[in-house]
Amino acid sequence: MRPTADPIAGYRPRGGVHDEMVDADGSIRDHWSELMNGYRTLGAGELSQREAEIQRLLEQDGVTYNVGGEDGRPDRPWKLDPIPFVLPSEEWSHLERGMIQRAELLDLVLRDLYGERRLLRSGVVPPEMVLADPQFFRACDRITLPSRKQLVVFGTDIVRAADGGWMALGHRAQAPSGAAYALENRRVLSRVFPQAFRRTGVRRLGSFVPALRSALLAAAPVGVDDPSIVILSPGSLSETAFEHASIAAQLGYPLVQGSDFELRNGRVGLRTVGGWVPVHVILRRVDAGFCDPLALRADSTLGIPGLVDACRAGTVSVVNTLGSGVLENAGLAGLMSTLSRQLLGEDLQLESVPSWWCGEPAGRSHVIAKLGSIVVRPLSRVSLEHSIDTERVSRTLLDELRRRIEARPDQWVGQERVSPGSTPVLHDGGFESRPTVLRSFAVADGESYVAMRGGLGRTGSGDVDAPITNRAGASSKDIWVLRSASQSPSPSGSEFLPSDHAVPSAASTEALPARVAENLFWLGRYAERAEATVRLIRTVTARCDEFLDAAAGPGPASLTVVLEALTRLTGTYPGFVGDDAEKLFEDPTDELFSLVVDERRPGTVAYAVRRMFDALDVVRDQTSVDTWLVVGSLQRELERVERRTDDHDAMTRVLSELLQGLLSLSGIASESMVRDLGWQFMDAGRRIERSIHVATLVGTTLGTQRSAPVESLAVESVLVAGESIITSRRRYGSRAVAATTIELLLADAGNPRSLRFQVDRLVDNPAIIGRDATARPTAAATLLDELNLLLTATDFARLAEVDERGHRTQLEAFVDAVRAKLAATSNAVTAESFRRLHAQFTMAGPLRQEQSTAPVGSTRGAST
Amino acid sequence: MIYDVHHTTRYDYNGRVAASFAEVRQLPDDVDGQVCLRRSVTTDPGPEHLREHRDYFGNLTATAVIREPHTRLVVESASTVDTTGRPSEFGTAGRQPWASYTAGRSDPQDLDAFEFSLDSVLIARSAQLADYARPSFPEDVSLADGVVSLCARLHREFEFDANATRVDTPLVDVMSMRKGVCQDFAHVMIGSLRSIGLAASYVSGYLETRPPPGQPRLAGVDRTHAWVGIHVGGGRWIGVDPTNDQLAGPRYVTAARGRDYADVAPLKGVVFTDANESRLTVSVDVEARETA
Repeated sequence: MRPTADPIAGYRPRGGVHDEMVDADGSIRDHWSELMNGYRTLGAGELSQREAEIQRLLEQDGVTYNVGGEDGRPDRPWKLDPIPFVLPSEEWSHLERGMIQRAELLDLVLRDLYGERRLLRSGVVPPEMVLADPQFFRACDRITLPSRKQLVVFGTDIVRAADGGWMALGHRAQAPSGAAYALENRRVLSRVFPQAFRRTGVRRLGSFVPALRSALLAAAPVGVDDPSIVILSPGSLSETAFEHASIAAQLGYPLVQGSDFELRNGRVGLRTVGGWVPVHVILRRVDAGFCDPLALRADSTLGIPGLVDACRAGTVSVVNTLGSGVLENAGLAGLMSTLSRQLLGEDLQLESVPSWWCGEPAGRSHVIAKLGSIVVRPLSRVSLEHSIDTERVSRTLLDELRRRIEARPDQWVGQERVSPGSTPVLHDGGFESRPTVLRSFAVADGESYVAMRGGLGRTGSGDVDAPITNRAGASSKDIWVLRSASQSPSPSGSEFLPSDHAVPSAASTEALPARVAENLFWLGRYAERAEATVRLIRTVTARCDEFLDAAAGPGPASLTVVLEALTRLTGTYPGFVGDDAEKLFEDPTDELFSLVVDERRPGTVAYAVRRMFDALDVVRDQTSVDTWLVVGSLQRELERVERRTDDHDAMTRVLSELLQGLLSLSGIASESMVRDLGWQFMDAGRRIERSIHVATLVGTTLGTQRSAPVESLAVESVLVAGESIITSRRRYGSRAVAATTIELLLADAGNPRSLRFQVDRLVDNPAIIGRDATARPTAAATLLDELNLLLTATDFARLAEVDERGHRTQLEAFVDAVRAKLAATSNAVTAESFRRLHAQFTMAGPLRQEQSTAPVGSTRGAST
Repeated sequence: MIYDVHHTTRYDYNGRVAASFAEVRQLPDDVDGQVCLRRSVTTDPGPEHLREHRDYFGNLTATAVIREPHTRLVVESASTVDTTGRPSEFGTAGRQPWASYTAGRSDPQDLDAFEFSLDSVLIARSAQLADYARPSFPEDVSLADGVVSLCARLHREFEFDANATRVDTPLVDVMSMRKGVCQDFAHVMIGSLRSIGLAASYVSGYLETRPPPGQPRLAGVDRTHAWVGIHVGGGRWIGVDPTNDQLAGPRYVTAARGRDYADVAPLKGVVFTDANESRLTVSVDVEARETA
């Protein structure tokens, strides 16, 4: 097969830097040739299609990087370039050795800085450099992990200089991010280019996740044989929420937040729906300062008060240690060679980009002199300052910067500018040269470290000098380390657990955090609400098409009944029951449209879907890839209709699409989820919502008797919206009336859409009625018993009876009673299973110290 | 002198508090020449968990968790301290020219003192503060004389005003107002000393109040107090109180020392509550025992 176009033909490496693919003579380097042959064969057209396929797979997996958008949808899709970063095995081994050596070295530094501080006393590390670092947490002094290594997870940013040599740009030692993205990149790229991947002879990334699991086990407090391990996340709005959920799912440990914790007798544990369970190891994805409002930042609500004290007592281990952020100190980079010789007696294998700490007079004058041609970095990464490329700022800013450095020289570090080596990226169907930096990861492994064989490549924009950060919208690359001739091919089979076959999370057992249970419950309720609302609107729009042109008669009259019910069911007043209802009846299109797409209006489909997303985001580590697939399609569907406001047919199509999506979601819930506690809460939410919906639907449409033809049409609409029309036709033919509808939708235990059916499920749901049969019944169980009794005692045939004023008062009373019980049940579940912590405050009114000789009036101190 | 010190902090809330977490630095130790004979901290309601540790600066610190629901929390510390050994004069210490005491890179062996010459959370060195210190530190003056002079000037030039500042008023504002409470006096003096390269610590503690002549001593009218520790070399520190222009001798009791107030707040905490108002009542009682 002849390629349509050679995608590589036009590739022009940018000059002045090392290009990964093309050498100085312009020919393709050996280790790229196999891959490029493959890409040539595919041709530019096919490559672009595969690029689209990559994007589709990433979206399917819900891979995002949150950057805080203004529209409340901060998720930015993750970008992965179809062209990997290729490295020969020998070259990688060199980098790997260098990275592991750095990890070894920084581990020793970490132990010393929170222990003896010999490095400071001897002056090998200037004391001010560390003592002035806000990430040097004095509260964490002398807290150590029981494992051999204090630094457990480690990330290094590396860059290729113009001469082809490698240099380290910086360290990530708090909670290095990117590893889960690297794993995901590999998963997707190897799936999209299976042949190229095989032919090129790519080495596996190695066992990062199992290694991390072992390292966490090794860090557990002494004497704990079967430690309980969790991942502490700042929440689903965090930049790297995808990664937290993905790592949690792959490790099989629960993803939790600060508010899930509770201290008992000084020990750290989780509040779960099954009670308190101890926690022994916390893999943190929260910056250290925010982890304990008592001992660290008082203004943090993301932390666990008392955590530092528990670490000090040795009853819990935090990984990486709370003090580890000090290793990200920019000044340490310039000391790595010295430290290596001092602490390891070895030469440094992977040099740092040359840098100068301004706290030293020599360093300061050097940096000041070179302002305009170097990069200036704040000492601590966790500062309000950013790195500044002084070649790219104005004269005024430069003067300003000089003043700031001179005012606080110890807070700044100058770093030589490096122009990173370039790699080709696919851009508009052709190859373009872009600067690229790599990040790779190492995990403590007993006496040493094990590195991921590959990592995360990031490419900058077309502008070679612009910073390469995810925030700045960089694209990512998979890193392919090739087998050497002597290395045998890896055995077939998956090298790591892909995310759609994740180990079931421990949170799906009894240790389900209350917050997660609550979100699953509301996921169930909102999914059902969205589905029910879509069904009703669909019924209504179909009827509109039928009857709207008719001036009068039973058709429009029955439509009025259903439109009014729609407003009442969704609570979107005034709508079709307000003063302007008459006008709306004439042309309900705008109102119906709003009920579908208006995300800010409670009661609409879009609002329910948005709430679903929010809930799903929180329980992300427990949901399958399929769920994300559906959710993604729902989101896109709603966005599409937003853009086509006046297309009536489009609306009908969209409603069908939405319904289809929501149906597959309930299909996944019923066919692909284990019936564990989490599922039970979700199902309870769905059942409660459906009960409320069906009871309200019947009550609002049939509460008042209409003329026979109107009621007949109204009944039909109710049965369609209640997904019971077929059964009704089969059972009652054209004799379907209010009475048969009440029977079918409220009383029929065999109809999965009926009220009776929902209540039968609820009274059997262990999450709601309590798992311990011998314990005192829960409030929710008592309420459900009462509801059950009410249903059993009700003579449904009599509910259709009409009083002298044409009202079905018994039906209305019944529906009111049912709704009240259901609302009370939902509240009881919330109170019993999701009990919330109260608002967190700093102990108010800091003590004022006053002058001892001041006149003494009262014994009261100052209060605020 | 032997003192019985009682320090009571009480919070009243307008709603229930589900849990309180507190870090208490009110436990005197054998430092600055004083000897602690007895010390304890209690809470009401009683703590579900109480643990003591020595913090980075060596202060005995109690972490208390109160989990019994409450609308009132009382934290009380009690100690008996023999202060006879606290120096009330420099003596032979600090008699060399002051510049020889500046903490520099030349002597990072003495890391503990060196750290007290650097910036801290609430105190940043500045040219303004150095300028303020300088008139007291001409070239050949001894450390002791310079400190005594600075202390006297501060006492004279700054006005004690309990309402001028808040606990978080920045040092630069205190410098321009020239008003404040003991915390501000201490911060200004520490900042001035650090700005010319000397090591100075923030000391929190208690001072016995003497009743006006002819009046009986009242219980609970004393105050938490703060003063300045001056490093006189070899890990020795001498306490100086700029608020009262005197050395922190045997009438003083050291509770904790750090770089500034933020390191040694007598009580810090986090509460979980639906209440939205709280009233704080602090009472301190420093009672001298009859000496035999």
